[in-house]
Amino acid sequence: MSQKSDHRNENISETQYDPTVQLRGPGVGQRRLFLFGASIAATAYAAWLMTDVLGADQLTIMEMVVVAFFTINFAWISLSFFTGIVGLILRGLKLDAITLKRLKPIVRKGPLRSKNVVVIPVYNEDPNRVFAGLRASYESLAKTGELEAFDFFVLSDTRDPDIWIAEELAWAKACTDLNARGKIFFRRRPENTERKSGNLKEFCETYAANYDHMIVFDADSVMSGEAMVNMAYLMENNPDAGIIQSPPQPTGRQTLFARILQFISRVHGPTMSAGLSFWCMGSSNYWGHNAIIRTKAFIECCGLPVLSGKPPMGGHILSHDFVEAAFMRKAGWRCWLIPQLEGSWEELPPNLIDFAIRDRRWCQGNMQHARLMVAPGFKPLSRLHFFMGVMSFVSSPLWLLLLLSSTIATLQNTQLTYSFFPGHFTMFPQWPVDRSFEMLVLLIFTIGMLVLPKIISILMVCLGRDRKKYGGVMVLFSGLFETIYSALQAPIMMMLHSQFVFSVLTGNQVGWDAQERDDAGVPFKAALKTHRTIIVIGLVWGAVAVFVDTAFFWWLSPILAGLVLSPWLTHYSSSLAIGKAARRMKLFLTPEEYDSPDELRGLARISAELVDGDVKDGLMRLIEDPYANALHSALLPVRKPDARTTIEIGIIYEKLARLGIESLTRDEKILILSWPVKPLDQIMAGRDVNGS
Amino acid sequence: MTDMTVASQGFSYAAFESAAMTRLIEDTARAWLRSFGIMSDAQANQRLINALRDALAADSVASHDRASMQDILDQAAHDAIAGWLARVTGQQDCYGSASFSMLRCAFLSANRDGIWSSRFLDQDGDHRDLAMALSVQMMLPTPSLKACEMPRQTLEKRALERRAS
Repeated sequence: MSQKSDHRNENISETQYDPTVQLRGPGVGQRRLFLFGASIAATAYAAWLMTDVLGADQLTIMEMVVVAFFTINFAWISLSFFTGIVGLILRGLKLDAITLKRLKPIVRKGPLRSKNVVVIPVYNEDPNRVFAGLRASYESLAKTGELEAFDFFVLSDTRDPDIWIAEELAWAKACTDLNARGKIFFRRRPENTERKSGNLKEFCETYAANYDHMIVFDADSVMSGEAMVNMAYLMENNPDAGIIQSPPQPTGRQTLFARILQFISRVHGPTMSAGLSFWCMGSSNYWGHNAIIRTKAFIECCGLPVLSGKPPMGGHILSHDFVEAAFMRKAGWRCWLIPQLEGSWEELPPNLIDFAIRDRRWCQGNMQHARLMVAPGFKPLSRLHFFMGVMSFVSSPLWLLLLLSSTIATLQNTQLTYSFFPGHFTMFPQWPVDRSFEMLVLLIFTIGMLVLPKIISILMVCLGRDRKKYGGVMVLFSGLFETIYSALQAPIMMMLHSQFVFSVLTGNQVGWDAQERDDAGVPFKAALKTHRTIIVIGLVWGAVAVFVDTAFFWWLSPILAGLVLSPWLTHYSSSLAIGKAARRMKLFLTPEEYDSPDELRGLARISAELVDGDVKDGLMRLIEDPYANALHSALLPVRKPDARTTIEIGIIYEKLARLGIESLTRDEKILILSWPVKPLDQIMAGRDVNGS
Repeated sequence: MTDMTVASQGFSYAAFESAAMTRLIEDTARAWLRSFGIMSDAQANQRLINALRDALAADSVASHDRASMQDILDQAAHDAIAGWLARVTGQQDCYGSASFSMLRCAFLSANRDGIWSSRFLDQDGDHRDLAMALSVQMMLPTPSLKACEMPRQTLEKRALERRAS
C-alpha cells in the first residue's frame, strides 16, 4: 500500500473516508479456493465420466482426443457455472458481493470533492446518437446537484468528413441548448494513431491531468447522474481503487435478436456480475466503458506497449481494456466490479451479422492477449482474465474439434467388429458394456451446468417482486424461447468464431469501423450469402452422421439444425416487426422497456429532436452556413500547411470551384478541411459551387 | 463610383479604380459580411468597402502576401474586422485564425436576429453591450492544457520494481 500513498487524493485525509462505502470484504483467498476448487472437482468428475463412457471397451486414440477437448471445454463451462451459482446465492440472499453484508444503497455523506470528466471517444459514429446520450446523461447529472464536479469531453477520431462536421455542430448545439459552454468540450485528433487507446492516451497527455477521475463512455453509453456521482464517490473513498466498473445493461434496440439478448442480459447478467465480483474482488476486469478511472494512476501505468511483430498478433494492442486493468493491478491499484451500480446502459448490435462483425474485431484483440498471458509482472488473476478473453473465442474451435473428433470416433467404432472372445482359450465371452445410463448422466450434467444458473435466474425473476417488469408470467416463455434461440445460435457462433480464430492465426486483420447502432435488419439473401458455407457444412455433416449412425445424427441434430437454419434464424431474428410484436406480447420484456428510466426517456426524446441534424455533406454545409464554417475553423488545431500541402489544397479548391463538390474524393475533402484555410464561402464567392 | 478621396495622400483613389475593381471590392465585402451573418445592412457594407479601399490606398498589405488581388482584399477585410473585434472585446489576440473564428462564431450566434448588424465595423461609440453579448456566446472547445507524459509500459520490467527504484 505504501507505494500507492503518493497517488491518493492528497487533500483528503484517512479519517475523511466514508467507511460505509469501503470496498473490502472477508476471505478473498477462500472465495477463490472454493470457486476454482469446485470447478476443478466438477471438471475432473466430468472427465472421469467421459473416460468411463468412451473407454468402456478400451479407449481409442481418437476417443482420447475427444476426452481432452471435452475436459478443456468443460473446465470453461464449470467456471462459469460456479460463478453463476455464487451469483444466484448472493442475489437470493440480497448480499453485497464484495462485503458479503446486506445490500444497501450508497448514501453519500456530503458533496463530491473531486473533479471528474466524462470522456466519449468516438470514431465515425452517428453524432446524433453520441450527443443524445451525452445530453441525457448531462441532464440526469444536473438533477443530482453535482454538475459542478463534472465536465464532459467528446474525443473525436472521426475520419468521415461529413460526420466530422456534424459532430462539431452537434457539440455547439449541445453547449448552447444546455448552457454548457465550458462544461462540454470537444476535440478531434488530426491523426488517429493507435485507435481508441491512442485517442485516450492523447487526451491523457493534454487535458486529463485537470481531473481526478474520468468516466469512460462508449459512443452508445448512457449513465444516470446518480450512477456517475456514486462512482466518483466510491473513488474518493477508496484511494487504492484504480478502476471501478459498472455493469452496463444493454438496452434500446427493438429487433428480436437484440431484445432476446437484452432480456437475458437483464435477467441473468446481474447473477454473473455478482459471481464475478465475488471471486475477483479487487482484481476485477475493465470492460472499456461505463467505468470510472483514477486519472493519475491511468496516466502513470496504462501507457500501452507495442507488441513485437506484425499485426494481428503483434503491433498496437487493440483490446486495450483488459490490458489497462492488468497494468493497473500490476502497479498495485485495485479494479472493482460493482454489480449493484445501476443506471448504466449500452446498446447492442441489432442483428447477428453485426454482432459477428463486432466479435471479429474483438476476436483479433483478444487473441493478442494470448501473448500477454505469459508476459512477466502481471498478477495471476490478470492472466486469468486474459485467458478468459482468449477462451471466449478459442472455446469455439475447441468445441468444433470436440464434435468433429466425436464424429470420427463414432465412425471408427462403427467400422470395428466387436470381439466377444478377445483372448485365446476362454470359455466366457466378453460382453459389450452398456454405458447409456452414464452417457445420459454426463449429458444432463453438462447441459445442467450450461443452463441451470440461467434457468434459476429466470425463475428468481418470475418469483420476485419485479416480475411484472419482465412481463409477469411471460418471463417463463421468454426464458424458454431464449434457451431455444441461444441453442440454435450457438452452433452458428461456433462456426463464425472458429473462422475468426483461424483468420487471426493465419495473419488476417480487420479494419476499424463504427458499430451499427440502428435497428437494421438483415435481408434473407444477405443472410444466405453470409451463411452459405455454414449451411453446406451442416448438410454434409448431417449426411455423414446419418451414414455413421442414426442415433449419432439425432445426438448432433440440435447443432445441425442451428447450422442449416442459420439464414432463417439470422433473417427473422433481425426483424424489427417481430421484435415489436414480441414486445406487445410481453415477450423478452425488460424493466427498461416496462417503465423506462428518465435517462432513457430523455435519450429517446433528444434523439427524436435531433433527427433534423442528420449527417449531410459537411463541406457543403461549410459553404452554405457561415456559422458552421466559423465553428470549424475555430476548432482546427493552430498550424500551417507546408508548401506541398498548400499547393495540393489550392488544386483541390480549384477542382471544387470548377467541378463541384461531387468531384471531390473523401481524402480530398479531409485534406482541405484539415487546415486553417480561408472560410469557404469567401473562396467560393462569385463562383458556381455546384459547377452547373 | 463612391467618394474615396484619400486626402492625406494627395490624390483620389477613386480616379484609379476600375469598374472591375469596384465589383471585386463589393463582392469581397459582401462575402465577408455574409460570413458574419450580415445579409443586408447598408452601413456595415459601406464600412467594410471603405476599409478595403483604405487598405488598398494605404498599400497596407505586405508585398509577400500579394498572391492575387482577391487575397489582398481578403487579408484587408480580415485585418479590418479583427481590429474592430479587438477594440470591441478588449482582447489583443483577435487576428489569430482560431480566435478570429471563435469570435466570428460568437458574433453569428449573438446576431441571429440581426440586432448587431448595424454595429458591425462601427469604430465609434460604446460597444460594451456587444462585448457582453459576444462573451456570452463564446465557445470553449477545450479546457486549459495540462500536458504530461503517459509513459509506455514495457512487458519486460515490473512496474513495481521501477517504482521502487
